Parts: sequence; structure tokens; C-alpha cells
Amino acid sequence: MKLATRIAMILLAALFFIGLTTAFERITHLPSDHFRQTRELRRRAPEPRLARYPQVLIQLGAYVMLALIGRYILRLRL
Amino acid sequence: MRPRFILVLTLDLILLLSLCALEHVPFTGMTLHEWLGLALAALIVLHLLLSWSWIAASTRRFFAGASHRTRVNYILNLSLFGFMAAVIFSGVLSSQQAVPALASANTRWARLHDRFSDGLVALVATHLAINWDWLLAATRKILAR
Repeated sequence: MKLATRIAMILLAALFFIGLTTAFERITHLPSDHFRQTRELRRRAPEPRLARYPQVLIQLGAYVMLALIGRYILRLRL
Repeated sequence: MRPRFILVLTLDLILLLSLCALEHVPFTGMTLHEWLGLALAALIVLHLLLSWSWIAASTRRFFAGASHRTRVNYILNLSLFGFMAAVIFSGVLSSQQAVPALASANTRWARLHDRFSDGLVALVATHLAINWDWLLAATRKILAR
């Protein structure tokens, strides 16, 4: 199969899920006030300096921990 | 060692680190968060193209008597793709810096973006757990060079 066909298939699949997401948004009617407040808080908060925050390491640790739980406790594997 | 193998492993590590950074908006700031999210879309297409033989074989086997384990893994990966598409799409619609022209006035998209990204964390961790043995073997192979 040609590369262009593969990319087209991936994009079509993404489009299908985007359609599902739009349908989900239409039927759920999530309230928006909560987020508006959160967005305001984020806007007011100062942008932190990258070097001060090891959040990426914390996130990575969380992923690895969850993966280890999945692999060795739930025994997930191919 | 084949360059394709190194490319796959490097790309997977970049994807994982990018997801870690994207899950914490105050770390990157909103502008970098949005641009990194858009770049992630291209990286995911590349990741899928590099895994195409698995995708094609699993799709064929899914409808022709695949094992329970293969089917569960296939559905998990498909869900991960669906969640990723939903997160990126809702992210574009709630963009403030990168593509504000495409942003929607409907603020519910931003809330959906948060909800889908919560689900994404669980799916990425499961994806990582299922492929943990491959990741360990690949890392050992690189370190043993």
C-alpha cells in the first residue's frame, strides 16, 4: 500500500473519531462555567520558569508506575 | 543496529516525554502547550506509519479468529487513537495562542479537552504496560552496543 494511501486512511480514521467527539459534545451539554473560571485563573497565574519545575519527571514517573502496575500486577503483555 | 529501530525507539520516547509535558500546562505555559500538541499530531501519524505492518496484520486477524488478547490489545490501541484525535481536536477548538482563528466560542470544548486528556493518561499507561517488554528489550539492545 502506498504511503499516501496509509496517511489518508489514518486521517480518515481521525476524522471518524472527530465526528464521534462532536456528537458527544452535542449530546452531553457539559456546563462551561467551571472551565471559564479555571481559564481565568490560568490567565492570571504567572508563567513559571521551566527550570524550577520537575513536573515532566513527575509525569514520567507516574506513567512508568502505572505501566509497571499494568505489566507486573495486572500481568498485561503482548 | 537498524536505523529504523533507533527511529522507532527515539520517536516513542519523544512521544512519551511530550505527553508528560502536555499533561501539565503550568510547566510549559499555554503557548508551548498548544504548539507541542499540534506537533504531536504529526508525530502520531509517523508513529502509526512505522507501526503499519502491526496495524494491517491485527486488523486482518481481528475479523478472522484472533485470540482474545490480540482483540483486547487492538481495541485498546484503537481507543487510544480515538482519544488522541478527540484531545487534539478539542484542543484546537479551545486554542488561545496557536490557532485562535480556529477556536470555537463554545467553552464546553475546553472542558471536554480536559476530560478526554484524563482518559488519555490511563490509555497511554496501559499502552506502555502492554509494550513494556518490548521497551525493556529495545533499551537493553541500545545499551549493549
